[in-house]
Amino acid sequence: MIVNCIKSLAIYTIFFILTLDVNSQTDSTFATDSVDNIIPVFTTTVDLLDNELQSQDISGLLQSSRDVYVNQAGFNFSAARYRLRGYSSENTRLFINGIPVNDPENGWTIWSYWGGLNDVTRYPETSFGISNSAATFGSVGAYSFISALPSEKKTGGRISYASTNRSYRNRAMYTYNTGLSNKGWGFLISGSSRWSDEGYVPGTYYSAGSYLLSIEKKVNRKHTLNLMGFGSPTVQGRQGIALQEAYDLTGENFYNPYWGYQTQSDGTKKKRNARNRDNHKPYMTLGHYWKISDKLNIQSNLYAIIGRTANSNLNWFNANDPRPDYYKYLPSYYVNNQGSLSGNQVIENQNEYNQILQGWQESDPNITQLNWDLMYNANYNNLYTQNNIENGTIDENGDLVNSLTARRSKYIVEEYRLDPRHYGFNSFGKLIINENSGLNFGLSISNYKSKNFRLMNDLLGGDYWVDIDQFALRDFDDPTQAQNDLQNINNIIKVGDIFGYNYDIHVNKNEVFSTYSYNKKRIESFIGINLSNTTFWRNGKMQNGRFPNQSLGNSEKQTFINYGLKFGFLYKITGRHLLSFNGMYKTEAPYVRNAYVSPRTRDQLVPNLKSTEIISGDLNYNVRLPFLKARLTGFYTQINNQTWARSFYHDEYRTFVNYMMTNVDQLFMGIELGFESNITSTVQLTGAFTIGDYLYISRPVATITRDNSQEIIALDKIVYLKNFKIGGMPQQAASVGLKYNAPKYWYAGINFNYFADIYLSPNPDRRTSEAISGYADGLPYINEIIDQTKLNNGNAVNLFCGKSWKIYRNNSYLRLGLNINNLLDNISFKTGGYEQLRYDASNIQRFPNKYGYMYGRTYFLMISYLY
Amino acid sequence: MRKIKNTIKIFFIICLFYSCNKTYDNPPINEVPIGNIISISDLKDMFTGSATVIDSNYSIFGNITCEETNGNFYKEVFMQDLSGAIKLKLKASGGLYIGDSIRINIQGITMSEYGELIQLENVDVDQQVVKIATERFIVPYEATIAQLSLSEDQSRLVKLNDVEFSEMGMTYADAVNLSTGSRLLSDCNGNTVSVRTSGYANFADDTLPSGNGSIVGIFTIYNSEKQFVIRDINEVMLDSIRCNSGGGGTGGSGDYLYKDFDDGSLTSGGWKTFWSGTNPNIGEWEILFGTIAKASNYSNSSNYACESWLVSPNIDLSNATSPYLVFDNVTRYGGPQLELYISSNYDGVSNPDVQGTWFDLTNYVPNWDTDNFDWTLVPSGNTDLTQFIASSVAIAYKYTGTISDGATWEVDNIRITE
Repeated sequence: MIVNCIKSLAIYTIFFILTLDVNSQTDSTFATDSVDNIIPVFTTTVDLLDNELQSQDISGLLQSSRDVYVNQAGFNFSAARYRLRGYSSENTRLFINGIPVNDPENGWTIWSYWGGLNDVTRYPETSFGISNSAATFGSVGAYSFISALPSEKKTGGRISYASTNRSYRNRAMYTYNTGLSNKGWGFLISGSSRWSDEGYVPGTYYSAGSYLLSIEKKVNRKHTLNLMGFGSPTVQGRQGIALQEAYDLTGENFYNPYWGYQTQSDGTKKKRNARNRDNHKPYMTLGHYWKISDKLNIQSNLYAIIGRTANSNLNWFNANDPRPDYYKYLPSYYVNNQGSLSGNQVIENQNEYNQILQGWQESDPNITQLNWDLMYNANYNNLYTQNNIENGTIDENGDLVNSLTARRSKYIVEEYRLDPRHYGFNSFGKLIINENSGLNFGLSISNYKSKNFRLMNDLLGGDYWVDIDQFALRDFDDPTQAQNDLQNINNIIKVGDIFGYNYDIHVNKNEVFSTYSYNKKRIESFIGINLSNTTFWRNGKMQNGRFPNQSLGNSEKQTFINYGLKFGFLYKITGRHLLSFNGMYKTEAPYVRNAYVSPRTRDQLVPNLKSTEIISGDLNYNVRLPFLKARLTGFYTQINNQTWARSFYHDEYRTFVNYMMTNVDQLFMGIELGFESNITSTVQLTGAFTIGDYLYISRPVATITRDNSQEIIALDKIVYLKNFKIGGMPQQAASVGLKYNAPKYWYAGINFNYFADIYLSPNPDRRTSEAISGYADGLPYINEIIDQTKLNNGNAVNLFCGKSWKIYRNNSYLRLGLNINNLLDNISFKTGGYEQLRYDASNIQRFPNKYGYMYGRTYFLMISYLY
Repeated sequence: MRKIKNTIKIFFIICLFYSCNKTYDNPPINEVPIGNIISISDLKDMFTGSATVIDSNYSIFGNITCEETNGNFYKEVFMQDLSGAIKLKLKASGGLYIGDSIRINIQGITMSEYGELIQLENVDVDQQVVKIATERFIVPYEATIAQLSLSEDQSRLVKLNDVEFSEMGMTYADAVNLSTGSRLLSDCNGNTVSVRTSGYANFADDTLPSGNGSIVGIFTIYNSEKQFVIRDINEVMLDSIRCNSGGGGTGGSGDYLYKDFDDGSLTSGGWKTFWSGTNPNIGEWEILFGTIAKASNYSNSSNYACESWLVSPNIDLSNATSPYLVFDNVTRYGGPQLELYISSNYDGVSNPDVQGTWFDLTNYVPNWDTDNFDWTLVPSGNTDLTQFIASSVAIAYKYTGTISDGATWEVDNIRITE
């Protein structure tokens, strides 16, 4: 009766929960369950912030590990943007039901594409560092294999609701697994919804769904088929990080410049975010599990990943920069100006300064946030006649005309689209040669294309936009050079039209690997090899006026042949003390994302593009005592010949430039220690410590070209990056935790976390002799330009507790749990940021650093029902 | 069965939550009040001589006669009605284009002057201007330079016929240092206006056309100086025969090369300097009093060894019949003679020490100044260049100083004409 009531409640209000799974009554998965959402809004890698790309994070992967170090680090360190051994996401490999989900363009695993499917992704098979992985050769980061086969998951249902105050506020989740029926059928279904009207950071919002359906059919003893589809459609208003000046003036460390008020027809003002993310990447796969004999298994998969990712942003033409934190709108701009003024200008400048300062201090939204009403009114008023529309446009009467007089938008919201079309086949298996040795092997064929274009999202009250480049219009007296689309001169753009750029990126990759393993009583060892062939190219769909001969059609194909070797050796001193050593050497094709100078306009390649080289080794000592589980690891990894490419406004050259750095070598070395110790049968002490040293070990060379014209501004400029630290993550971190598991099915715990040595990624151009050429040796300004910024060390205390009840009548469980992160509400901990690429060597404070802060106290409360 | 039903229901509910894509209404239009309508000329008549804020609720109507697109105007446009024209200084760049028919509510706007040119300051196009129509083009007022009135015609769109640039071989402005160029435009009667061009204009680096013809632009003034701003380079049509061509006159308009350093620049007009020596910068060509070129190797009671070139742009003498060079010069303090060279294969960029065949003209100059303890510039007399007629000719002055010796040399008003 009671249970039926609960079920009805759940169905109609979603405030309730049903489920079944999980072995232990007091499993700490509860804690890990809440982690996935700290990261996506707040990007983990600083580089990506200025690149306006997707957040990458592997914390979702770390959180669920069984490794004593990693499962603590994954949960407790994620708030400080910790990265396992300093590696970025492309050094991990993730498989869902056997299909590889790393992005072929940049190698990242982006957890938000399957966010909300926690019930399915919770228990992957994971290994860290160099390992004998089943589905691929792997890399130096983590390898993880998530199974979504009904026969391999717990049967039954789980329904849960969570309330939190992070990027979303509500989450409802439902999962049901039938297991395998007598006739060999199994169904696994999972879905969730996460939403908030406004998240922790002002102006952000979240609305995401997720679904997964996995059907298994055991045909006979040898063959099993699986059909699966999943995805997480997500719409999200984003947060931007800002200058310290903006935080200080508003007194708000979570100041978000991305939103502003828009007056509605009823006179109310509504918050609107300009930077929205709208992603949906469905994954579909057909798998075949073939048990050829007791000694040979092969799994093969056909898969397709077809979806879209969209990020919106403001753009403007012949109008003022609308961003509230543009440097000319901040009080410091007026202070910097003061020295160069005379007479009346001084007084005017002072008056404007006072006005702006007051606006910021009072957090006047007209000053500190976007002003949508002004943008709309600027558009309403901009009557303009566009002549010579080559291919014509439809006017208000429905006629095709070559001249249009209407409101030309000065401000628009545009959408950057990257729509993947990824098809592939992979097959891997294991052959047991004899009782001591085995062979893992596999091949994969991947055929990837992404469609990249810009789409008109909102004309903000105007009627049209013209597809020309404002900067080129001023730079060249030949007006056709300003055309973004030479085959559509003066193309009239309306909502939903493609403009600006349009090209496909192709990446085809084939790979084979094999690993031989040999195990004896005291020894486990493996040796592996792989060989791959990667081809990528660009296919332009729009002929750009600045680069008429380099923008249209297929570019030259770039092909790279790569290989790798790895080995591992584990020696059991006793069953409780294990010593292991692993090593790897491999080369990897450069990722296409770093290969083109400016793919939006042309197919020009970064000069001296080379394969990346990875050399890595680790030495581990594992202890498995009844009261103590511990691991101590020392690691050393070099990742050499990397490429770095960005575009930004260069003050010295007074133009927008493409900046390419090649020969970037990085070193990652350090020590990790993790332990779990059962002090009593109910009290557990845990600890995770890492001391890392992640740094640049080469002097890269930079090539700088003018974005508009391909004119080479600087060639082989030496960047003095050697011994600079790799930024954007703590190089040292420590966590100590205590957990009490009460016999009566409740638990509580606390974690103390400390983070140290967080640096900002160095802006390469500031570390050149040209940048400091204006100063004589020994002047303090030089250090101001070249010194690397180190952030203050920080800490966070996390608390978690939970209880579960068994309902004996129908053998189900009700569970309740609460997590409080950053219990002490430490809101002054800067976890990252970046040096602006634009800089002024004569006044480095003109374009100061941007910083992001760790969230203050947040909670995650969940109730779940398992049946 | 019940399980499946429940499952479906729950799924529907979940889908409901995923549909809250945000939507927004368009904000209301900010109306710009009209108030009383007055003409531009009446408005300018109200100007008292010092900057004043207009506190009455007035609107002016008119048409835009120039725009910022090519970079020659920045944060400013000119507006004209039947009664007159006025300059608008804009709060922000962009938004007004040639032919826009607009209304401005000028309440709260400051009217001021700059060099007696009356202007409205800080006009906010998005909030104070209403666009009524586009492509209502004003026909330029055709006048001679002499007819243009400093007060009545200022800021007006004007077309001048039968005019030509006095300075040949120069560019409109200094596109490298982004500084404004001022180039004399004259008619056949010797009346002149200064054509002012921004270094940011996308045609700043173009060479001045050498012919005679018509030009359209905005007539501006700086106190009593008549000035002129080009709004579209396609409206400069100077491709006919020059005033004095074939007439053998000696007026300024027949110059192939003219450099007077009055703009305070050694290098404007394509001139270049090259220096090598023992102590940094000592002996370099420099500007004296803002109007004269000077070289001296004397500093802190010592002489320093140096070699210093002042090189003209390449000029075309192929249409000339008997060109000659004339300049002013003066020297003091004893030292090596200033040398003069000419070349017809100079590449226009390199150091003349290493590139080009240079013919030494020093001894052909009729009158070099001698050290008579006097700072008065003396005319050089005409140096005949007939035998150097070619399509690309450059001249160069070479100053030499030693560690024990060195004169001060000044040159000015360098002219090749016929």
